Amino acid sequence: MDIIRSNKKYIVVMLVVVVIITSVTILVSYLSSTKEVVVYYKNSKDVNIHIFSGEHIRGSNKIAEIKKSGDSIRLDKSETYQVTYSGNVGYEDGLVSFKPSEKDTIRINPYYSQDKLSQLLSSQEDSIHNVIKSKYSDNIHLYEIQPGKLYHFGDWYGTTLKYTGDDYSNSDTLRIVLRKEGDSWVIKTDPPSISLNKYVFPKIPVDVLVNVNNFQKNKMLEKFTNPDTSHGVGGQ
Amino acid sequence: MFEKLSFRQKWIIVLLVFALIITFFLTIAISRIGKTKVNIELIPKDSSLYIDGKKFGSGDNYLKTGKHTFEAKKSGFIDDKVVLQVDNESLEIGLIPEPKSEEAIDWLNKNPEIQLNREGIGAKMSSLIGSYIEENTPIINDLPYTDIKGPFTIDYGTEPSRLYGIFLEITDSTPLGREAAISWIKNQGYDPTNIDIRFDDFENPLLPRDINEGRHE
Repeated sequence: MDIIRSNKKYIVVMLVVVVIITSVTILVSYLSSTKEVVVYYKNSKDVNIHIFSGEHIRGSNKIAEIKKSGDSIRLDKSETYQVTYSGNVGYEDGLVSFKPSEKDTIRINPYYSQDKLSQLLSSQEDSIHNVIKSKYSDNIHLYEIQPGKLYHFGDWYGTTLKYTGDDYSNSDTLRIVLRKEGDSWVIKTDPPSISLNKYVFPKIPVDVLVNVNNFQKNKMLEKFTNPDTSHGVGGQ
Repeated sequence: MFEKLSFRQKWIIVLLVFALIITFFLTIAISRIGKTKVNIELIPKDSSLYIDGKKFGSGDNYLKTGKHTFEAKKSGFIDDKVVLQVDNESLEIGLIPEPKSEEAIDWLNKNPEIQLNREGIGAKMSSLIGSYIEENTPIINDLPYTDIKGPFTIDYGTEPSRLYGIFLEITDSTPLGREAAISWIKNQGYDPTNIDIRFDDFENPLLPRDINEGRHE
């Protein structure tokens, strides 16, 4: 007890050091378990951050509003969040999911709205189809190029090629994606394929591939399944 | 010497040592937060290890969860490369570049115990990759699958350079069968966009004939 009394000053210093180290540990632990995330946006409004609860419900679990582009917010690294936004006129609404541990900057640049893309398509589809016809000039007469869709900023296009030839065994509908590079359209799925995947076509955005893969099935096999035609499956 | 110091000086030294130890462990602990231990063995031991293109040392490394590319390189050997998903559980992997030059082949022949170690690591990696594929692409548990009405058969092959490296192969099919095969894959809960699907019976009319013939050689 005498030793403690006579060295009171040192014990106090020791305790202060322990408190400082503990405080620093807690602060460092907080800083390392959270991350400052900056949100930049354009052509959009009503930008909000939500905790992702596993269900894509817009407007639920809102934790903050990003009032102006470039604002930042400190978020828990272990959580998954969603930024929801409404596009300005001519732009799509949307959401971005992210984990602060993987991403500290969110850039929102909404794609064109479906209406705007449809308007753009009417003036471009003929020239896109001409690119396809020119590229596969030898055998494109075996196919009917179906009406397609523009994506993103009108710089991606996808459609299907409906088989009209006589070879039943290879009469599959093919899927094709083009990209606008400068003023010209370039085929990005060469050759067009039955099903598109992200491994064979890594440079095409996955959402475009998914959408083109989900295009309505063409009634391409009618002529082969109709017994009145001369191309019946069993008739060859 | 320590005895000659005053009580105050002793306390200051103890405090400094204590603070240094705490700082050291704190720094290590902080640098490993949110990371998973991956133990990497290399044969030959002096191979260079690259993770996601950056040079690392063998042994214990702490990596963020996610997809990582591990590569071992050594002059005279064929690079060994594997893409793996690192989750929260620690992982032990091995990389074994294959001897290519005469000198490297000779070195391996003269060291049978190293050859044994290589085989052990090879077997361990095959089993690890096999379990990854099974865990992440459970569709393979239902393969091969044949639908005689389709008609189609779906089986799978492996592609080591890809994560969970498999591709699906559709054979014995007609156009209707191929459509039915894609529907079957979707019905199993898979998006065909995320799977490399190959249609062996299909000769693409838009490809020159010689290329289609080449596909089957």
